[in-house]
Amino acid sequence: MRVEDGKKGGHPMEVMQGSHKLIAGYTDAHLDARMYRYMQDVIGNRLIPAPISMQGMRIVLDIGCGAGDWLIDLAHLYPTIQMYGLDINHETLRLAHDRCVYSHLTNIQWRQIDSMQDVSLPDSYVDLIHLRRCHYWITPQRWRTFFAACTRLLKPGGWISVTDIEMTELSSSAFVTLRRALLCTLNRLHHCMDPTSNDYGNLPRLSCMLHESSFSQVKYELYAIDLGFMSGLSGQYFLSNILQNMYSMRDIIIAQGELSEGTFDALFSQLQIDLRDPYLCGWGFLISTWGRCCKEEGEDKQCK
Amino acid sequence: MQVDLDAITMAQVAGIRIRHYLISKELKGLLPAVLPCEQFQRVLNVACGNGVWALDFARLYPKKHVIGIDTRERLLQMAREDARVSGLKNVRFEHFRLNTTLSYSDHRFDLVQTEQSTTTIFPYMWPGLLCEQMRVLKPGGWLHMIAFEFGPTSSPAVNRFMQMMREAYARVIHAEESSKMYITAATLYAGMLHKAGCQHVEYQLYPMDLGNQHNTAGHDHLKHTILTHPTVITFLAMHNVAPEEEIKDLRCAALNEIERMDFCGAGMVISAIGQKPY
Repeated sequence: MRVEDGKKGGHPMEVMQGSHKLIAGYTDAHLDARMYRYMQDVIGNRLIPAPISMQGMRIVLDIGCGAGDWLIDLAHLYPTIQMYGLDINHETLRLAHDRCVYSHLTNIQWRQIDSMQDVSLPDSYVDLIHLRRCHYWITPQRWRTFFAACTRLLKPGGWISVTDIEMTELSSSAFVTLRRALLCTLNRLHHCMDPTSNDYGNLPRLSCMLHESSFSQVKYELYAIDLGFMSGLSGQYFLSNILQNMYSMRDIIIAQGELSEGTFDALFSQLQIDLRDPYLCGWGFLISTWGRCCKEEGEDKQCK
Repeated sequence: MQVDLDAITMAQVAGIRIRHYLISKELKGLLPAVLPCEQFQRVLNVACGNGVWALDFARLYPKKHVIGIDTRERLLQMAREDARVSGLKNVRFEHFRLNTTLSYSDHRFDLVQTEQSTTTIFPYMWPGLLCEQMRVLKPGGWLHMIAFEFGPTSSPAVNRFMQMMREAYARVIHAEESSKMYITAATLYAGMLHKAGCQHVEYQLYPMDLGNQHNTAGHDHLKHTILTHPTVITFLAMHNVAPEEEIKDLRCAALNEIERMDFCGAGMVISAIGQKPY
C-alpha cells in the first residue's frame, strides 16, 4: 500500500474527513463517491426519506456536500429547485463544480465554509437541509449551535435529513484494538459524543439531537452495512474507508499516547492482513433520521 | 453473594423467549429460507435453553424428530414439562456438559442448530464443540449458528454497561492477557464453520431497532436481558469490572434512559450456515 503523508494535526475530524492521502491509487473523492453509491444501495436508492415531500420546495441546502454526489443526483431530478452545496474542502468543491458544468446543471451553487457562521443565506430561507457522514459538524462542542443554525436557515415547516454510518464490528482483533485506541484518542480530545461507549456515539444520538433542537415529527430508519465476505465490492469500499480513516489518525493516536508508533504500525499491518481473510465478517449501521422545523411553539400549524 | 435461583431461571426463560421471538420474526420462520428444511428428519438443537425453538419446530413438523440439549438442568425440566403439556412426542430434552463428547452416534442428524449462549459457551470452546457437531452430522447435513448482538445506543449508561460486559468477557477469554480485547463472537461464526470443515458457508445479517420508536420486542429484549437479568450483575462483579454497587447504580440509570421517548439503539441478528461435505 502506498501512502503519502497529508495534513497533520488540526481538528481530528478534519484530519479524518479531509485527509489528502492516496491508498492503492484511490483519491479521497473516488472513495467518497463509491461510499455514496453503496450507502445509497443500503437505503434502497432513496435520495430523501419517504415522508418528506419535495412538492413546493424551492431551496435545498446540502451541508458537507463533498464532491456533490447527492446534490447532483437531486438536481437532475428537480432542475427547478435552487440548491446550495457547502463544504470545508476547496478541492472537492472544485470537483463538484466541474461535475456540475459537465452535467449542464445550472441550479447548484457551491460555497466553501469553515463553520455555520460562514453561511450567508437569509433566515427562514431553506426548505430542506441535508447532511451525510457529518462527524465534522456534529461534535459534543458544536452540535447544539449547529442545529440552531439549521433552525435559523429553515423555513417554518422545513425539513432536515441527516444520514450517518458507523462500522462497529469486525472479526479482526487488530481492528478492535485500533478502534479502541481511536475512540480513546477522540475521548481525550473531547470529540466523542459518549466517552462510555464502544462507538463514536453520534449515530444513535442523531434523532435525540433533533428532538432536543425542537424539531418535530422526528423519525429514524436503521439499516445494516455488511462488511464481510458476502458483501462483495460494497464491503470492500467500506473497509477501504476504515483503513483510510485509521491511518489518517495515526499521528494523533501516537501523540496522545494510546499506542506507540511500533504498535500502531504492527496492528495496522495485521489489519490489512485480516481484511484479506476469505471468511471475514463484520457489520456496521446506517441511520437516516429526519425532522421538521418548528420555530415557534404552537404558532405554525405546518409543524403539527 | 447469595442469588435467588428461581429468579435466575425465570429471568433466563423470559430472555430466551423474547430473543426467540425476535429472531424468528427476522428470519420469517425458524430457519433461514436457504436451508432445505424439508430434508431434515433428525435435528439437534444445542444450547436449547427452555426449548422454545425445539418445541416450535416439533409442533410445526410433527413427523420430524428433535433433541434439545443444554447445560442448565432447570431449563430442561421446564422444556420437558412444556413438551408433556403440549402432547409432543417427537421432541426430547437431554443434559450435556461442555468440553465433553456428545452422546450420539456418528452421522445421526440432518441439522444441528446452535443458539447463542454468550455466558456459557465462550469462543475458545467452539472448535471442540463444532468438531463434535460435525461428527454427529450426516454428510450433506447442515450446521446453523444464530446469535443476537447488541450495538450502539443513545444511552450512556447502557453503553457503559455493554462495555463492562465486553471487558468481563475479555477477562474470561484472555485470562492471561489482560490487554486483549473482546471480539464479538458472532463475527467469528463463518470462520469457525469453515475451520470445522464446512462447505457453502454463508451468513445473513438482520438489523434490529431497539429504540422506542419501532420495535417493542427489541426494546424489551434490551431492557430484560441486559439490565434486569440477575446473573449479569453477578457476572460483572465476579470479574472485577466494577464494584457491585456501581454496577447496580448504572443499571438504574440505564433503565431510566431507555424509557426516554427519544431512546435509539441498534442490534444485529447473525445467522451463519455451513454444510458438511458428502
